[in-house]
Amino acid sequence: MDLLSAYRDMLRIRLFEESLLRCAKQGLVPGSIHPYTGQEAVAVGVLGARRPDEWVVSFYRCHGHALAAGCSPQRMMREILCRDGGLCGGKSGSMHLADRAHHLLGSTSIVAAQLPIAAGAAMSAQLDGAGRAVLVFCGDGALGAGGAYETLTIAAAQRLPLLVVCEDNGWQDQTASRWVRHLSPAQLVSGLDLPHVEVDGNDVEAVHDAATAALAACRSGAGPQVVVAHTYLRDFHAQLGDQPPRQYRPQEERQRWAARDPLTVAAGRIPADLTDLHAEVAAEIDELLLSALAAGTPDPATATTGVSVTTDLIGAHR
Amino acid sequence: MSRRHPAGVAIREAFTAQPMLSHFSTYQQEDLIAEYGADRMVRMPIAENAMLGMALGMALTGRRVLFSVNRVAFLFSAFDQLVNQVATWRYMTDGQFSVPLVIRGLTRGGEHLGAQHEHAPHGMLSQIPGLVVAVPGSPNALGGLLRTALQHPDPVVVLESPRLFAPTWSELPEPEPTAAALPFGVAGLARPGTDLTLVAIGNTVIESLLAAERLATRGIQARVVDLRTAAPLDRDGVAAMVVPDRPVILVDEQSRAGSVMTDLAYHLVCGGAARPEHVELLSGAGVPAPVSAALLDGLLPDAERIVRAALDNPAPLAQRR
Ligand SMILES: Cc1ncc(C[n+]2csc(CCOP(=O)(O)OP(=O)(O)O)c2C)c(N)n1
Ligand SMILES: [Mg+2]
Repeated sequence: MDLLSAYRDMLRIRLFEESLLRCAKQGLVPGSIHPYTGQEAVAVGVLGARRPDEWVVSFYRCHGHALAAGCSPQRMMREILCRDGGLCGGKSGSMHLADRAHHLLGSTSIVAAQLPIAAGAAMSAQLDGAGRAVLVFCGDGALGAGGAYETLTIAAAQRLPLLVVCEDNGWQDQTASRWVRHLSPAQLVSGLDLPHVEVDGNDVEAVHDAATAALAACRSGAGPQVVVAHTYLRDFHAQLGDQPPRQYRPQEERQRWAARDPLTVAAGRIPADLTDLHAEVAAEIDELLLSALAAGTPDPATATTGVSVTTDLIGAHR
Repeated sequence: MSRRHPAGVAIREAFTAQPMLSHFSTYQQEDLIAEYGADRMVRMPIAENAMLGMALGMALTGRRVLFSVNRVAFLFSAFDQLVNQVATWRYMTDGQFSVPLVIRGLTRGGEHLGAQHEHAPHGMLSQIPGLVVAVPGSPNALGGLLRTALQHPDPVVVLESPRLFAPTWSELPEPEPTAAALPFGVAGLARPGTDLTLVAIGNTVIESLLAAERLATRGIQARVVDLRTAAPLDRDGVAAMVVPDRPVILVDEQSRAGSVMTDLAYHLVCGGAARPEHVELLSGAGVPAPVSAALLDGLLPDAERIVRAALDNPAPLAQRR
C-alpha cells in the first residue's frame, strides 16, 4: 500500500470528524455523533484492500468507513448536518450512512444487526459466483449479542465469503468490555474455530496486510475470516446534542493510547515533511463544511417518500 | 433545579425497600452500585434477548428484575422473550407463577436519532396480551407509574419520553400534584376544561397541555385527559370524562394504524359518549422517524397543530356561541 496516500486518507477522516465535533459543540449536528477518531487505520487499512464492487456494511460509527469506501465527503457532511444534498436526504443522519454508488450497503445503529445482513449479502455474493467478498465492521461490544454467534456459525457452515472486522477498542459505551465478558474477541472467535487474526489496529500497514490476506481467503472460497483490530477511541464514545460527555476512561489508559495514535505511527515511517499535506486537507475540509453549512434543509415533502404506507398523515381526518 | 427527579427517587425507594429486586442494564451508575451492590446492579453485555430471558427466570423464582433497556428500540431485539415468554408465562401455567418484571425504555422526543432509535410503540405493545404498558406524560406521572410497576405482580413496560429527562425537565407542564403511586388503567384529568376534550398519551400529554394554555388565551377551556397506560386502556373512564356535546380530539404521536386512539374513538362513538362528527384523531404519520428536523416537523402532532384542530373542529366550542 502507498503509505503516504493512506496517511492522507486517515488525516481526512481525522479532520472531518474533528470539524464535526466542533459543529456538535455548537449544536449544529442533529442527533448524536460517534466519532471515528483514533481508529482511522482500521477503515483505511481494510478498505484499501477491498475491490470497489464489494459491499461494505457498517454500524453507527460509520464516518471513517464511508470516507475510506470512497463516499463523497461533501454529501456525507451534508447528511450528517441534515442539509440539502446529503447522501440519504436527511433521513439517516450521522449513524446510518448508506451509498449504493460506492457499495456502502448501509450502517445500523442497532448493535450487531449489521452482521447477519452482511452474511446475507455474502450469500448473494457466493451465489453470484464472481469471487467477491463482503466486508462488515463491528465493535467489540457486538460480540455480546447472540446474533453475532448465530451469524458466524451459519457463515462458517455455508463457507460464506464474509470478512468480519472487529474494532476492539476495549469499551462499549461507558462500560469496559472486560467487565461484562470473560474472553477477548479473538478468544471468542477461536472458540468457534474460525480463521482469525489479531492485528495492531493503529498500524495502517499491518491492518492492510491482514485484510489483504483475509480477503484473498474469502474470495477463494475458504469461508468467513475475522480480523480483530486492537485500537482505541481518541475522543469518546458519542455525543448527543451540544454537551461533550464526561470522561469515563482512566487518564493513564488514554495517554498510553494517545502515544500510539495511528497518524503518529504512520508519520514516523514517512520520510517527507507532512506540513503542507495537513494544510491542504484542512483547507479541503473547511471548504466542504462551509459549503454544507450554507446549504438549505431538505424539502419537507420528501418526509413521506421511500415507504409504502404513507396514509396516516396528520390532519387526514374525515 | 433543586427538585430531584421523581424516577430516580422511585427507583432508590424500591431498591431500598425490596432486597429481592435486581437491576439489569448495559450501563450501571457507580453510585447505585456503591449503594446496592454490584450483585444487584448487574452490568450486562449488549444482549437484550438474554437479559430479558434471565429477568424472567429470576422473576419466576421469587425475585423481581428492573430491566433498563435504555432505548425501547433495543427491546425489539428481545421480542421472543417479551411476546412468547414474559407475557404468557403466568397464563400458560394457569397462575402457578407470576412474572414481576419491569422494563424501562426511552421512546422519542427532541433527540433526532432517527428511525432505528426513535419509536413510540405503546399501541404495538398494548396488543400483546399479558403486558401492562405505562406511558407517563410528566415527570411525576413517571415516578408514580414506576412506583406501581415496581409493586406489580405482572410484567410492565414503562415507555419514557426523553423529554422527561432533558435538562429542562422540571419546566414541563406537571398535571400530577405528586409522584405518588398511580393506578394502572385509570386515566387522569390533566387539566379541567369545559369547551372541548383533548385525550393524550405520553408526549402528546405535554403538547396537549401546551395547546390548552394557548387555547385559554383565546378564552377556550380545553379539558385534557391523560391515558397514563395504553394497556389497560381506560375506555369507560375516558367516556365518563369527555365534555358532552363538544369536540373530542384524540392526540397520538404514533400512526392511527390499529392504535389505542382508534380503539377509543370506536368506544366513545359506539358507547354514545361522543357524536361521530365531534371526534377527531390527530396522529403521527406512519413513516419511520427521519433525523432531519425539517422532515420530522411535519410528521408529529404538536401544540400548534392541536390548537388548529380545536379551532377547525365542526363541533360547537362554547366560546363560539
Ligand atoms: C441492540 C442495542 N443495544 C444497545 C445499544 C446502545 N449502544 C449503542 S453503542 C453501544 C456500545 C457498543 O460498543 P461496541 O460494539 O464495542 O462499539 P464501539 O461503540 O466501541 O465502537 C451500546 C450499548 C444499541 N445501539 N443497540
Ligand atoms: Mg467497543
